[in-house]
Amino acid sequence: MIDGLVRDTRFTTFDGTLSLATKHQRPDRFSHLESPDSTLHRIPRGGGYSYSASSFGENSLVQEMTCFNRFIDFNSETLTLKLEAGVRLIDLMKWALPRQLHFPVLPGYPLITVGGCVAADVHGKNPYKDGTFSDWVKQLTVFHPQKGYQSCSPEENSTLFAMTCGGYGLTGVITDVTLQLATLPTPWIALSQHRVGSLEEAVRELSSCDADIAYSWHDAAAGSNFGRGIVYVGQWTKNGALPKPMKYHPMTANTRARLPISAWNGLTARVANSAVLLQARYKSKISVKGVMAASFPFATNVYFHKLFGRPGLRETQFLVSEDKMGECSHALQKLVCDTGAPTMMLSLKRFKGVQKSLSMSGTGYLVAIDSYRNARTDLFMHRLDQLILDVGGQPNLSKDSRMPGEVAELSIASFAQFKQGLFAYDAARTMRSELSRRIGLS
Amino acid sequence: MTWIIVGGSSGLGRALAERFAAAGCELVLLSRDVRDTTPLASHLAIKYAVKVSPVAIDLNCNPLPFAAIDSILEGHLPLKGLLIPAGVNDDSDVVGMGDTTLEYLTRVNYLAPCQLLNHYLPLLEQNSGVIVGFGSVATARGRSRNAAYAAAKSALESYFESLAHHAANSGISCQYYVLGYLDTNLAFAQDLLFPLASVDRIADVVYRRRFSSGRRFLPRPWYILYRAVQFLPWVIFKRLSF
Ligand SMILES: Cc1cc2nc3c(=O)[nH]c(=O)nc-3n(C[C@H](O)[C@H](O)[C@H](O)COP(=O)(O)OP(=O)(O)OC[C@H]3O[C@@H](n4cnc5c(N)ncnc54)[C@H](O)[C@@H]3O)c2cc1C
Ligand SMILES: NC(=O)c1ccc[n+]([C@@H]2O[C@H](COP(=O)([O-])OP(=O)(O)OC[C@H]3O[C@@H](n4cnc5c(N)ncnc54)[C@H](OP(=O)(O)O)[C@@H]3O)[C@@H](O)[C@H]2O)c1
Repeated sequence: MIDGLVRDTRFTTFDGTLSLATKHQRPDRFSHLESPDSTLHRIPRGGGYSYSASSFGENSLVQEMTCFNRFIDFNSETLTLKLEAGVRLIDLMKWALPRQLHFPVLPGYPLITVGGCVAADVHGKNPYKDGTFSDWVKQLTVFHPQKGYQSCSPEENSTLFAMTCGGYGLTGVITDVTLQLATLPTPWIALSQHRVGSLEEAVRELSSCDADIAYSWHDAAAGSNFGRGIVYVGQWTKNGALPKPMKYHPMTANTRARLPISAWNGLTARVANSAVLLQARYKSKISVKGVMAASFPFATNVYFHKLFGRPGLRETQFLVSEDKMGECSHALQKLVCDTGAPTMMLSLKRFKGVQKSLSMSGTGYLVAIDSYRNARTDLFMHRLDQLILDVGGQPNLSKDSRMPGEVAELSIASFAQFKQGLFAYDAARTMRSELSRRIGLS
Repeated sequence: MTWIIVGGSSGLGRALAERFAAAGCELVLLSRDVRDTTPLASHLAIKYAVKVSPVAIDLNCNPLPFAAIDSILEGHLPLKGLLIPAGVNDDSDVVGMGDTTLEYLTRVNYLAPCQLLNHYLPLLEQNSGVIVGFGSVATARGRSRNAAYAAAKSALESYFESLAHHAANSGISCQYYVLGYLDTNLAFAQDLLFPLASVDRIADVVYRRRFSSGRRFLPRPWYILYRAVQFLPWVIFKRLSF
């Protein structure tokens, strides 16, 4: 290894529940990326916005790819853009918008990288219409220390491509990605909000709308208000002038956790949720937002995450098939209300697609639940795991920092196939993270 | 107008490339590996619609392959400036090091920058051009660590002083920046006492002051620290390990 390029760094998951120190390299040249001994365990890292420890692990060198952030090629006829994996979504959008272009699958935070999006096969604001990130990937280059640079796409080297999209960095370091862009109808989105009384009502609204953005937010605190919420539906709209550039202070796992204690508890959760619902009653039903503000709501609205403070939060996301959604809503309400669970908010999105690799993709409804941490949290999470198995739910590994390996193995349909493929591809399992250790892939 | 950036692949050199390209300047980027500078050239062309050419050159060789650079430069003329942020340090750079390390550090940090400067001086004089060199606060006082690096950078600084004297009546601008810690890979693994400066900010200052002359510390507060180290009594200085 080139001397002087590696330091010890303490990494923390975005949910603040797991932290460990390990070797850290931030390559900014190809020779640096290739310099560690080829047998050394390692794991790529993007922006570090995963809630699980998927981009660091004990005795595994972290290769942070944020300096590999160059735009390599743009084809104006096919609207395909080749860029390096460390490009942040905000930089992609800053480049695309003035050229009347858009990338439809944007997770909620602007400093997430393209490589992290491929590796976790993330979703945006309407996965029913837009699918997941990998649906927009045309080609990838993956660097594996013992295999070198491998180009792959749905047509060429397709097994590697399928394992890398939603493969959490376990096939190697993605160095570049070719994305399919879309034309931007307008830089404005009209976001309307409708109050709903239950999860079932939200599901009905989401299933009947044909929108560009569609998701719901719900009060998930234990009690009679459980499930009351707001359905957000967004459509492109014309609004004259260009939106002002979005101003925000970058939030990282460390800055999120500055508050020494959590401000969220049963009381504050109920008060905050009621305030959101009350505000929705009196606020204008339609607000017009710039595409950046609508795509990255957590850039300017950081208090929700910051108020979990140093103790952190637990998030669980899972995808349930349409026919199981009713059963899931009832079981969830019963679980939360019977056990006085420390849940705070819940959100739903409709999905369409096919399950692949370790990615959360397929057809159905995404259920996301955020909980503050107290003595009951772990028991609640344990019961939630059982609920996920009972309703055939499929978890999002990037959002859950503690789901036991057995649950992941039983709930992810293609887990066994992915595991077999991964061990055949790299028997020494060179790429390793805390996540891969937890779910038995190291 | 074209600017050559020696060491344009990473760190400050890459930030300078981005800043100058954003202002519409054509660039020739020199570094060892065109796998780094080719994507950077595409990046700058895509973002700012400027012409950028990468050239592979190892500063640790003698003679330098001027013909390769000059042939690329022909498609770029006129040459307006030469920015030399290239630099290297090494963990084995302590007094008593081997000849190879000593030669390597001297060549990359001092000899090659001076050779490049000498080669392009006539062309730059024709165009009222600009030459910018970059040194380090490590030159404040010789220490057991960074011995050859600091010596080479001190020599470079002295050469730039001579250049400034030579250039006083020739119409070219000549600047030398003494840099504090930067947030780049050169400093990434070091335990440093002071915060690292953003290279984008430094590059912005260099761009805005590109037609001025003289020596300057960046970030500016490093001047005080630099002086403090110089005036530290020997009995204290000899005990410090940094
Ligand atoms: C506020 C917030 C909002 C979010 N909203 C959404 C959302 O709406 N939808 C959604 O799906 N997700 C969402 N996420 C989760 C986030 O999109 C994923 O965790 C994503 O993977 C983070 O990417 P990153 O660049 O931060 O990568 P990291 O967190 O650093 O890494 C994530 C995974 O990607 C791998 N990886 C990173 N770079 C590379 C590379 N170059 N090559 C190979 N593997 C690589 C890592 O090994 C790791 O397994 C959100 C997260 C936050 C904090
Ligand atoms: N970083 C700091 O804290 C710090 C502090 C004080 C002063 N400085 C000075 O500031 C300047 C910029 O430093 P930086 O931090 O930006 O460094 P960096 O990120 O390591 O970049 C150094 C550049 O020099 C090039 N280079 C190194 N050896 C070379 C060789 N043999 N042949 C050709 N090119 C070579 C590198 O290109 P390739 O490797 O791609 O060939 C790279 O482009 C340097 O002069 C440094 O001494 C830095």
